[in-house]
Amino acid sequence: MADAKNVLPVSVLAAFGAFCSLSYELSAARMLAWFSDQTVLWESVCIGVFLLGVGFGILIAPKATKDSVHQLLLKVELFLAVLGAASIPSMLVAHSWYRIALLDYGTNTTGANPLTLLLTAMQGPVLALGLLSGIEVCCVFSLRKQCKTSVLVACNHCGSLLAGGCHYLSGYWGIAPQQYTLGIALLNAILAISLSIRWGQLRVCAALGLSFVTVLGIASSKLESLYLKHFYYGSLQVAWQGERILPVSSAASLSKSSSMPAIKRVYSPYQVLDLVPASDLSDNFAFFLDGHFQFSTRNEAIYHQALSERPASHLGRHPADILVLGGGDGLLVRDLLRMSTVRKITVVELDPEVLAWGRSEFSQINRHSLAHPKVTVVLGDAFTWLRANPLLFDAILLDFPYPFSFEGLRLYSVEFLRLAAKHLHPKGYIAMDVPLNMPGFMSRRLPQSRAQVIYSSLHRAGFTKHFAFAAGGESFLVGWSPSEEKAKVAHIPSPYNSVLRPRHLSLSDPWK
Amino acid sequence: MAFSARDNYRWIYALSFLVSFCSIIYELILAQCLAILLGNTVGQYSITIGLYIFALGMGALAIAWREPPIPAMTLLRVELFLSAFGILLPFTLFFGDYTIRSWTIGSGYGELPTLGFLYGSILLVGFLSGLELPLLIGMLPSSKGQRVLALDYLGSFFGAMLFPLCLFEGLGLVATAGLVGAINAAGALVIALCFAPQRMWGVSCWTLTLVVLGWLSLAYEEMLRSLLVEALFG
Repeated sequence: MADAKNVLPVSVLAAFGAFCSLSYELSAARMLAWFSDQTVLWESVCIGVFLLGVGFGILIAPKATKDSVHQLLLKVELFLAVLGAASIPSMLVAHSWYRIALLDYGTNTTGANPLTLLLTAMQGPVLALGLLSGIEVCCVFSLRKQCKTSVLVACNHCGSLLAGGCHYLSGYWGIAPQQYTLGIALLNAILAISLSIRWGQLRVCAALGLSFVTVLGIASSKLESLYLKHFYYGSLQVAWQGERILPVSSAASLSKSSSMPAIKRVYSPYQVLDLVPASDLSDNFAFFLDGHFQFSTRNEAIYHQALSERPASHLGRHPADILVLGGGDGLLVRDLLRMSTVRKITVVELDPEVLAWGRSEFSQINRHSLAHPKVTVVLGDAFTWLRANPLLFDAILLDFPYPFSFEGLRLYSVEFLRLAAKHLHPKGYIAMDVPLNMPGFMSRRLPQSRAQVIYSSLHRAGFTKHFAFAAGGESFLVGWSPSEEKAKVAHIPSPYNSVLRPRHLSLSDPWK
Repeated sequence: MAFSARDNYRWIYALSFLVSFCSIIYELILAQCLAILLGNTVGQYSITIGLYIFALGMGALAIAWREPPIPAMTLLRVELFLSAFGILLPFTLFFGDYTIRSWTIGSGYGELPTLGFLYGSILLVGFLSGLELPLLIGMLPSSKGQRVLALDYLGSFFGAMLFPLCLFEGLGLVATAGLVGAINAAGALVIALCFAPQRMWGVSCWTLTLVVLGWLSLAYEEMLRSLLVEALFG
């Protein structure tokens, strides 16, 4: 009878253990992707390192200790709770220190990229989490008695499924990764303390573990606020004096950043939005997406005016029906509405939070453009929207963030541009902001220049004519296609950027 | 050619590394295709990892529930099927997505049929990959099971490293699927050679076909990619 009672708790333990472990791993991968902008790389590396850890954990579990299974499992749960809780805050601290070190020692180091070294070092906690998870699996399996191995395997994998789903939902609901991880760690610590009370072992250690996680939970928002202040006012020095980067020493950075105004941060399902008030305490502010500069109220007008007016005036066309892809801040729409020929503007924005800010935080500077009767706002992915809609436009303007990540790169792919081309009237044109003049380095995988990839993609998509121009330090590209030249398109050689084989544009953002 | 029991053990160790290497790359190709088709890379990776691990568990459960009489034969079939499915994975997903979307436009089901197809593919690959490990362990004495498990995790680790560092940007999705599918087919040939010599002729024909398909994906990657782009994006 006692054995039969054992089935449910052990099954729950198996599922719960897998849920917590994978949740920690996924959160760590999300943070590394944020630091580096390389989601594909760090998601893959993290899952690989985690699984390696699980494998080693299973191998060493029988030799790990001379303790009883109960005691070993308790220790593992406690370590998992503490390590899981500390993983994200320690990554934030390490990233801050890395940026401080960059201030003093500069970025002109030869050899390995220091950020890659840092992110590789951050795989240590991921490996440790995997190792503990492997030992945990072995311990739970040793407790099974009447419970079938196959049932435990199923419970373990259901826990993983739940972790994947919950992690997705946590992003969807805009929960910060550190808060999510601390919540999981708290559950883990509560489990550890319940087990310690039930088994009468390691009660003091379990209480200490729970206290540690609770204290870290209370301090987490303060820690993030400090990190952000340091990120934006310290090492980054968002310049309000017209210059972008003002190099300072680490000591000056630290002392200055702590007295700066608080930064407003929102986690959306797709990205992180930061509103950074001016350090001179004026009404100005700057807007960042995933830590990348988007605009500053001091000079955004130059950029948006150029993108809205220059292509039309250069081509001598007067677009009436315009599609804006991205641009949920409403600033480009504000300038487009100034054109007397415009009858209708359709804005397709992916991120509901950006749109919400466009209607609230930015409504003064965009002059409530998103509420204008000529403007229709659609919430959706531009790629999917273009595939699903047959509408034609006189002009399509792309107001996306620069493609630092794969997510952004797919919006500069030949597939996307080709979809856009299909939505243009015969005399229509496409205009976009492209990183032609942005500093970067030549990738060993990309011997061709970034401009060549962009031009090639545009040409391959059907825009046989194009011109580039610069305004306010930004570069823009306009493409159109005289109908008689469409037959030549297929003969344009590589390299072009495709979603199936991305040509990374090797952007290195000096701000991040 | 006759192999000793010890040689066979070594082949099983090598196979456990190889099959997990291929499986994790299939999983990453799936995640990447989903990110392309549905957007939100982090979200799609999370869902794919969760569904894939769940399906792995269901595969392992299926073997525990109904143990096959000759594990090597079942493994052979699984490998050949996974190899064929793997080589065609990007085509299947892209054309499947396109076709289902065309059929269901205005049907009121929204994205549900497409999501069902895409997530169903993850479950299928995960389920078949989940069959592999218990089958391999079943072909060994129980004392050797842990080593197979460790090599399985090691294979996953190498696959997860190689995909983003070399394969994805270096070869692209189409050629990576072809290469990994061909490696998987070679694994099937090894199984036939060591454990089912009576099936050598048939398996060799299948393997040759799959390796040629894989090679075609590698050699004509650009042409195939262009075909896909032309067909799906106009």
